[in-house]
Amino acid sequence: MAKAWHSQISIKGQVLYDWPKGWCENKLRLSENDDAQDVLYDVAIIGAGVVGCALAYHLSQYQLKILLLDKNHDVGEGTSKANSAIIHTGFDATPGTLESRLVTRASHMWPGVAKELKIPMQQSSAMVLALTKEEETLLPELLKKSIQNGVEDVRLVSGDEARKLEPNISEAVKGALCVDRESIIDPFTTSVAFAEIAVINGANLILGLTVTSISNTETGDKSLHSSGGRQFKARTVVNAAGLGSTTIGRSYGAKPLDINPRRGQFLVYDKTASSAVSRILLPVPNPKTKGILISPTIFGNIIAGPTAEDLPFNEASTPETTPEGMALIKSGAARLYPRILSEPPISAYAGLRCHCQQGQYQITYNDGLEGVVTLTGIRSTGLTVSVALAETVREGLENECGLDCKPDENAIHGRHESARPGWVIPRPFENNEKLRENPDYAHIVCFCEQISRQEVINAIHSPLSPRSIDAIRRRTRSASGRCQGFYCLIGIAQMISESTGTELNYITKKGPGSEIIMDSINR
Amino acid sequence: MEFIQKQVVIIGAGPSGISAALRLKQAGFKDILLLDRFSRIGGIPGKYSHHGKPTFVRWTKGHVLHGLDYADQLLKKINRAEIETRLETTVLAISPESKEIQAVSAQNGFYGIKAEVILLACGAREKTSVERGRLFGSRPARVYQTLHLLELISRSSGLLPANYCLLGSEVISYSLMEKLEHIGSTPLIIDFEKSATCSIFSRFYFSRKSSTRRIPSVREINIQGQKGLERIHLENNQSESISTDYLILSGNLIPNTELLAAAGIPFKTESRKIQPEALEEQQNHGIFITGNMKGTAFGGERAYFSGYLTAGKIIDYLK
Repeated sequence: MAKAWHSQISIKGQVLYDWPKGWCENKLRLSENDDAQDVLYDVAIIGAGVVGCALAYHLSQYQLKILLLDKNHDVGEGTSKANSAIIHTGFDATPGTLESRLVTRASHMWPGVAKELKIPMQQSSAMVLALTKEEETLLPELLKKSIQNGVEDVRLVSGDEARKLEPNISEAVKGALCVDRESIIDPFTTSVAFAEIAVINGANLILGLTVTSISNTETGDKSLHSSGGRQFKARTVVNAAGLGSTTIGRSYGAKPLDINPRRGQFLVYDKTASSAVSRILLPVPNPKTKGILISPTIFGNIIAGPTAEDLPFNEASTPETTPEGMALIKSGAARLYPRILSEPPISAYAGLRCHCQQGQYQITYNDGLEGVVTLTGIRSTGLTVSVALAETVREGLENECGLDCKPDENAIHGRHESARPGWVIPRPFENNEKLRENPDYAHIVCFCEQISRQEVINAIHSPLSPRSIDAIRRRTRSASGRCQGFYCLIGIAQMISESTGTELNYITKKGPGSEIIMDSINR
Repeated sequence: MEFIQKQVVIIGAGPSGISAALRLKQAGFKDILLLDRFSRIGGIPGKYSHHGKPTFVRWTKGHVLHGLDYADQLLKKINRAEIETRLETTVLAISPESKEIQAVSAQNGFYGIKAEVILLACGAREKTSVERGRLFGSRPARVYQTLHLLELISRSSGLLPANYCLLGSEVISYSLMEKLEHIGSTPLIIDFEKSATCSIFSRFYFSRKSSTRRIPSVREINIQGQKGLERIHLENNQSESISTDYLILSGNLIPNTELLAAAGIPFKTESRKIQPEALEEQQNHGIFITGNMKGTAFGGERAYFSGYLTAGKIIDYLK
């Protein structure tokens, strides 16, 4: 694999940025390629989070013209990149709900999907730990609930047995529920993989574009309007814009919903802490909250979190970490694994869950307008259900909105390589023949994660044409290790600049407005 | 995998690694290999470019040497002593029991090195914002560490005047402050500490012509900005909200311990210092640690002296 897999594939769809001139190459700018606006799309999906991307991926297996839009400047840049990265079995869902059915179904689909799409995933399994006598009495209930949810491969163990499996858990553990199929995944690669395949199959992806309203056209199709005055036409529209869905919803007379951000903060620990814990450790849930969990990550770190703070609705909500949140995480995590307090955290992040007061999993077909689907209130399990939800929504579009879905034999449904270097194929630098072919695979630029220059360049030229530093970081792990880019951050920016012919002062962390240098262009 | 044999392998061609190499060569040990993952020797001092004001590195000789000049001096010494050096070489793994190293470079490919003595001179880095513990809020662009700013100063056509906030009051913070003043931006210095960390002489040297304001005893910093940094909110005796374009987290060095961790050599988790017993044990086996990587004292001159002392221990070991 001296050449990146995507350099040998023809990409049928377009990736375009609604960016001003100078921030990226003209061939990627919507202004220079407005033929993307002339197409009558069969489905327009607003929101390229994991739910929107999974839907685009699934629909791209059919002969449909698909448009995927996001106001952010990469796919999966909202809540989809700031969760616990767990593929749930559904053992603790509320039995009988749509969420429960979707999670249970999706959890059986995931091993196959991860393998085909080369998404790093590992069945690390989970243990729900009872720390008090009362909690211990709740474990049999949890077991019963799990079986009601269709998750039967669970078992109860004693405190001592739990400590044999995980020697570093608290001495106070009285018993545990083992959930073997609970798994950890690379959440960044998930959205990217779905979107890449959709675009390769012909979907158009437009980033940096905020849809403000949807209206009918004379022909009965839908017209999508953007804040920049752009317009797109589609036969059907799926509003999967998460926290942004209600504002758009009001424009087409959607069923009124009260959505607010429910923030979840996480702490990330150095890889040196990783040997201590090999399973996902969960507390016994109480009626208020699922609690603070500890989980290994697919990258070799340990994370602890999340908190659950309901925030007022605000269009411009930015996820933030708080001192109270960090303290809550540390004390919650220390209950399960006491030594965590002496581990140094390397990073922290926060995600905003799409919390809907009227209830989770709001899927409404022909909501206010014929052909418009509102798909919102997805939280806690969005990453897991994405693959199953995509199928469900496709069926809904067929049955409720009359979408004609004919399979496309030429569509691809897998990838040859992971976006995470070395996951499926050995790291390039382990093979001297490959190094002779391309010495840039031996030039390590991110020392903490051991990522080579060529791998970063491959990511820059990957099918979604990522142009921001954060987008490159999520695909390659560069600047995401223990030093958080101390040595390589500016080098990464330099590589984006050189590979794309963009001046360094136009290189951004996460799109226009987040330039790495304060200049006359962004003052 | 192919292996080469060396008597002494030094990982890190910064002041401490070079100093050790020079002393060992002088003592008659010829089979030395010096490795560095960067494209030039000199470690951190080599990162202080000619743009901006000189950097305060050689204090004892009574004058100020620019970082790059110091690195050039070290390079001359290495060349004169004819010490074999491989640059842009990353050490991927180290096996302390067998004293084997796995390395990769564009020039030499992927290969192994068997050594009698391994000297780790991997230096130190600044703590991340979360590691420092008192920074919260969002994650916008333009929150940097000192090294980022040094690279931006040298790579771009130079930074333009803007509002800069510097967190920290170590020598490195004042040195950076002087550089920023040189481009027309007097930064604001914020500090968690009550009194400035660096010596009064350093402070006098750097800030005698300056109009820098220093805000001490800050308890917490809340970073605000959706895309780019907009403002920081300080919790001290009064709450202050400061509009700024850049926030630079300077100082707070910790050793680069990845290779120690990979080798299973224990170190204190918070300070990253090697446990003295572990250090002793490794030295008896032929594995040494020197310079900033030891975590006891930081700085170019100190690292150079540390390398010299450790070379003495290596000489004893090899005899």
